[in-house]
Amino acid sequence: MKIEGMVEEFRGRLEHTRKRQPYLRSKELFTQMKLNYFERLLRAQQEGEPIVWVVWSIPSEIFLAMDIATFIPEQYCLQMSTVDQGLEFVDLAQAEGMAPEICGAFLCLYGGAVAREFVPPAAIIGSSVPCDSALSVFASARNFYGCPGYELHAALWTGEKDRDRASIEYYKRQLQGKIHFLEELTGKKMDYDKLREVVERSMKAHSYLVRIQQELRKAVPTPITGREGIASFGILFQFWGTQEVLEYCQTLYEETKARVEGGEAPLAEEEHRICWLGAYPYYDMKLLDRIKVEHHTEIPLDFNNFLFEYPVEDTSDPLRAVAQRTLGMPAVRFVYPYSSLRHEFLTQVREFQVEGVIYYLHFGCANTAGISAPMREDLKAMGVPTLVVDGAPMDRRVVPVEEQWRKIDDFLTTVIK
Amino acid sequence: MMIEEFREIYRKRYQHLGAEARRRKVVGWVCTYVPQEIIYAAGMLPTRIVGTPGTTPHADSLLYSNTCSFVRYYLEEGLKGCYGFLSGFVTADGCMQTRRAMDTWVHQVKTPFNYFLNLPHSLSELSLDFFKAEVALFRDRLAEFFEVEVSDRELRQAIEVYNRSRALLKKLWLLRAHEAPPLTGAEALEVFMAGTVLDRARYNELLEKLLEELTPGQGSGNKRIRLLVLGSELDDSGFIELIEEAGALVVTDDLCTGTRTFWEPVDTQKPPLEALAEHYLSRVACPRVLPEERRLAFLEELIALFQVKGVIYQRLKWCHLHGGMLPLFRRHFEEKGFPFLAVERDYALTSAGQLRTRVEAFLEGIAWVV
Repeated sequence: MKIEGMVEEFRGRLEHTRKRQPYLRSKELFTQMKLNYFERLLRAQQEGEPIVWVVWSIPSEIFLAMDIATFIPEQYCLQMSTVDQGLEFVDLAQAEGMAPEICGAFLCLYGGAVAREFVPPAAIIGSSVPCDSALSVFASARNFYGCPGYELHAALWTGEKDRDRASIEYYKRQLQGKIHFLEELTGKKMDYDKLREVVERSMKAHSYLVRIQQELRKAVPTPITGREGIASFGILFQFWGTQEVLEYCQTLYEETKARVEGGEAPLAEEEHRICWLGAYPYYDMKLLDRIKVEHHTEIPLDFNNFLFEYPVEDTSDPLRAVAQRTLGMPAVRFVYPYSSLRHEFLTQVREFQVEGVIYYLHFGCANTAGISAPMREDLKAMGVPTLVVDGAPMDRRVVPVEEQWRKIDDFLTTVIK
Repeated sequence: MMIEEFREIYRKRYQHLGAEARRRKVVGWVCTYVPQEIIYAAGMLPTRIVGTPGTTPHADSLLYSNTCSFVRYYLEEGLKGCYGFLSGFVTADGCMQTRRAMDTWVHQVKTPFNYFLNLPHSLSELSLDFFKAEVALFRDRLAEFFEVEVSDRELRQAIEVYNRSRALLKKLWLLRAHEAPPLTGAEALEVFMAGTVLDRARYNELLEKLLEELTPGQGSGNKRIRLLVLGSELDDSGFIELIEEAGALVVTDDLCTGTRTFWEPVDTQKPPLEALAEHYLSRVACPRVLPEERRLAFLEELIALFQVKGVIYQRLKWCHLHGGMLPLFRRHFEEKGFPFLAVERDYALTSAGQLRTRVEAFLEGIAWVV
């Protein structure tokens, strides 16, 4: 799908939200934010501006402060899968030699690149996070386009304070390197006052998210649906620092707080609570709705939210704040050694009163699969049952949705009830 | 024959390591980015963690289906208690599979000392600075846990011993550049693997004897198609043997059980920890460490030096690093019109017949060109 198509898609979604769910201001803001992003990208493409490809874990504040358009291809591919597109690029990537067991989003990325479907990159910025698929496919894509690249290494937190601090400092210094790289690439100079403003906004937005998760989502019944939680928190990376994201996070916080105070919940008859870990079937997120509707079960704790770091209050060193926030994001921390997050994870399972865990695994993710073994052992010791569901976030052909649902349905019927 | 001795040492590795563990501490390492010299300088024996082909019921009960077979097999060995003699287990962030395997190892195998070394995935001044600090911290934590001193003097001595190994292995590999190499690719791998078990000083003595025994240019390889093998972790000489039985001779490699580990020595003029960090991060890279251009240049160097006529890119199934880099390598060689074969394999040599057929077809294709 070309950018033009994505812009049209989000214009339609925005219109739909305004008509059908006018009471959900946060949802409207969220859709508007995404539309603005794609429109900005389209404008950059039409005006011949340099567009930089980035992995989703790369923080957006620097780009925003320098007014550089970014494209997150693997996320774009997942977005395509929500409208049943992109599988032809998965196949094309394999025809080009990509191993079939690479994560579908990254296969689609490479296939889309080969097919010249996406906006061509002026540069590609890769990262060690989230995974080896990202690292290797981004390297292959950079080689394919013959464009310059920059790499950001997220040194993994081990839970030892001195090492974790060193990791933040190291990431910060790499962000400085990224600024130099972008300055050379685009000829634009970083305006450090603007960066400070952007980062302050970003950390304010982040603090709302942390408060929603730590203060509000624990409430019974939970004030946000699983789908809302996942969608809202999972794809903010490209928006950090914008005024829109601040407004969105603040609105979502206020809406959620009002629900908790008013004893309201999207699922008033909430009977069970589960945690969802791993990926999601983006091509059919209605699977999560079925959990709610058919089993009166909510998801207050999920992969994108289960390990929220504390708010980053000190923004006196903006790059350090960005580094700290980035390395502390739940989906990033999920990559770290299990021992570094074990205690926190088990505490959250207890505090959120979840009765079971659905672990959505797919063969393209060695990370979530690998960490599932010790997690499951610990959950078992706590008496919390785990269901492993085989799936794929991008490719519905791997495991039929109905097969995925059958397992979930059985689990919720026989184990949780 | 000395080669038989190397083969036997590796075959009986648990027996050998168990006996060693009664005399001193044995520390297992997984990824070749772990600076073994530090363990050696602490008076311990570093040994590479590997698996043994067979079945993996213990590991299967814990792991998801997408765990690479190398990891699955070595975890099986750990879970069965084969590595019960270890005092320590160290890995570096070389790939997602081995990193995640550490989680299972720590919780299930319970080796007394466990250590994870962060590894930058690109080479720059900044990443080097960071890695220097990581390497220094590893030295400190190892020394602290085992209550030993690891001084610069001991580190220098360890570097010398390991550099000697590197020089001897390189000399051995260069014998394979001759038209009729005195040892096959399978034999070279067996010699290499023995070094992952033996004390390095002893290994060096054996390597010297082997080099005395071998006569340059007097081997059986003449007229066979000369290949380079690169790709995922490969410690099974049976895989190379299969290729060679099909009519080729594997004359060199780009493997973490081969050239990547010994082609360049550690700089002995610099402070030892700094030199170690520099060496490990900037040596010939695996696909984890970018930019890949360094690796491509190294491959070209090897191809010219060893008169290579074709390349086999072997990839362990579920190795995402080699799986995601394959198009890049394929394009590189295809653009040059250089014969290139990509094969997927399991840690245990399964589907041997299929592999043999593919290699034979590949060799036939090269024979037309050569």
